[in-house]
Amino acid sequence: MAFQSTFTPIELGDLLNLTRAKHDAGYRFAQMLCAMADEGIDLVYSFIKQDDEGTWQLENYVIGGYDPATQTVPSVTGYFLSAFPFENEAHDLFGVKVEGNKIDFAGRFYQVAMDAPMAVISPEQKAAREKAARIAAAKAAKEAKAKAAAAGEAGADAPAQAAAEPKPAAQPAAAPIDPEAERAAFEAKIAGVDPEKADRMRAAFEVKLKKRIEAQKGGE
Amino acid sequence: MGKATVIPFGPQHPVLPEPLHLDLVVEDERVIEVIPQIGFIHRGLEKLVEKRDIHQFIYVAERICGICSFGHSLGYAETVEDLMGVEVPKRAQYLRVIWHELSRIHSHLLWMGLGADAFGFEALFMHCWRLRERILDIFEATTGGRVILSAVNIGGVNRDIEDSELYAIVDKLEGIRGEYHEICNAFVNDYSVASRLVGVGYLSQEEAEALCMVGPFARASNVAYDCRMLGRGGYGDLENFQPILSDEGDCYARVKVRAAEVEQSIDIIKELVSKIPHDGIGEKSKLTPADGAMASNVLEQPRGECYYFARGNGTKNLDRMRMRTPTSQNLAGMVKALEGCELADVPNIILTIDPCISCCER
Amino acid sequence: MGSFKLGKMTLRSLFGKPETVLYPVQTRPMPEGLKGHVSNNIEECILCGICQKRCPTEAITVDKKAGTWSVDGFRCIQCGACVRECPKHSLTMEPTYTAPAATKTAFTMNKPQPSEEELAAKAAEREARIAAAKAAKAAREAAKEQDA
Repeated sequence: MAFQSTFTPIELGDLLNLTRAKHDAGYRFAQMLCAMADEGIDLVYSFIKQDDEGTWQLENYVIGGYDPATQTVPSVTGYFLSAFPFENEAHDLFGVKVEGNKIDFAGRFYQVAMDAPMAVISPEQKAAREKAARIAAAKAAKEAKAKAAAAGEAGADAPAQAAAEPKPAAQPAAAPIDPEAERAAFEAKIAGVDPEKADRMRAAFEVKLKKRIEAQKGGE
Repeated sequence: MGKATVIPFGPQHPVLPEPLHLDLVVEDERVIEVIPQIGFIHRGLEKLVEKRDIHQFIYVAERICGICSFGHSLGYAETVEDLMGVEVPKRAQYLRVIWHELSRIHSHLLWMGLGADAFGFEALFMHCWRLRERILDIFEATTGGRVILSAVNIGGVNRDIEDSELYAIVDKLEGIRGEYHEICNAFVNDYSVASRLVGVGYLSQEEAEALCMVGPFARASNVAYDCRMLGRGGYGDLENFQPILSDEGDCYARVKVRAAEVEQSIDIIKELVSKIPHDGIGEKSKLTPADGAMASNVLEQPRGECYYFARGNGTKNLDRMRMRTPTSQNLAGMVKALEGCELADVPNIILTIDPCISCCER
Repeated sequence: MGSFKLGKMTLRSLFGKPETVLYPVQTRPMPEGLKGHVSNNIEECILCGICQKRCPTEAITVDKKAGTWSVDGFRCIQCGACVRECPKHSLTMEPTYTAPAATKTAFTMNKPQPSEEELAAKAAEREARIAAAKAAKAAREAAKEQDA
């Protein structure tokens, strides 16, 4: 016997239909959980059943970016009563508004000192997330740069040859500086750097760029 | 028909080892409605993933529960290994299962003691716990801890058990089996136990399935679901694993299912020891979970299926770790089983669910 | 007769050896691998601070400048993470528990500072090494010039 777990994104509006379908198909309700996302809250509903081939399917359905300020979640306790602790928990710890819970404690399920304590993003987590995002951005920028460079080389060779054919005598003039391209390359370079330091570097870069452009103009 | 009265029950109650509060709506001696309440000891352990990295969180996961502590560290480690795609050597998987089954024996013995205490059989309680001490001694000798073992890491286990020691453990368990039979004899054949438990807190198979119950509680109502059947980790190599079922659905059936599961665990350990491979115990993984990667996993704890969910964010900390413990799943079933029972049977019914409220509120 | 199923067991416990020990007078033997408390072989320790970083309860403090290593036995959870991570294997788990105390105190160890003679010997050794390296380099260059 095997085991497989899957994650499928769904819309909040489809939740009740899905739960009804799972209930009628004889699935067991495994759990419901909340997780803080970049925007809003992710809700994950899980169902488990053994399929015809004997594999146990743990199916997780993810509702992404639920906004507690404007939306309410319909309760699934009508189909699966065992969901009541999780829905109360979601309300007490994350501030998720659940509508129609069969056993509703109205915020008194967990005796915690504040509303939605799990929805608070601590400074440590924020710092860790920003650092991870910076590293990821730096990596992406590096890759993009490498790709652009590869494409640029391939693309630059052909026109250069074509241009060189009719005017073999012409001096290879210095390519005009494209400030936008330079800026983009610089941003990619500093993507992984501490924000304060990045600001200083950016200012220095702007001054340098201006000087170079002026120097080139003067030369012409 | 008398007037309905509300009797508060718990969180401090002689029979309850756990802070569970019930509002029992009683008509004469009969309970007609039950409103459970937990939440007195919420500790915010799931929030701690932000401060403790994936390796340190094992020690937090262990502390979710004092009885199934090994199970929680195992379930957590398996989930994070799934998340990062870490391969665990077979020997480490077998050792994990051996420890996990030992902790099931110790948990069931503890529960049987508490159950005996609940219906007032002090001597049986003492004998159960005396046997449990032997299991704890095995833990102490093999991992260095009695309850909190800290034996698992992400990618393997921390300590190996020598083959000679494994055989000694099997011998010791066979010795325990003899004494255990005498205890079981009292549980299964003594008329005082039967008179307190037979027919109490009945739940039919349909009800158990509709309420999505898990663990021995469900299996006593003939629901053939045991996560060990899923063949995760070392369980996949068992010759023939069949969940222990009973179709009686009352408190007595729950005692019998657990009593049989202890012996089943001894058999599992014996089988695994006889075919344990020698391919190392694995090393602590040096990977970090990828951003947005998700993994979910189920594991059979002594009390039933436990669900784990983990999501990475590209750092050495997890973005979210979730453990859905068996008791929170069984709360609905407990409410159902309590409806219509005698007031004097309430403690027995609650105990046969084996509630672990501290697990429920991480 | 369905009663007194525990008879045999009860009689055995009546005449057998007790399962318990008289605690303060007798104590249980501690198994070898028991996780009691962390101890540090300070001679081996290089005060790298990895144990401090890995400790899940922040029980270990390492001060490289002052040359001290300290563990708070009342914070320590005996998980053994530091022992496994130590690059010099100077940390060990001893099979005795931290004794109860009226106040929580940390146990601090000082890394013995090398004496002046040792320092002088070390410095002399280093200078000798540098001189030898210089001589070897000069010899190599001379050989190269000769080849040329």
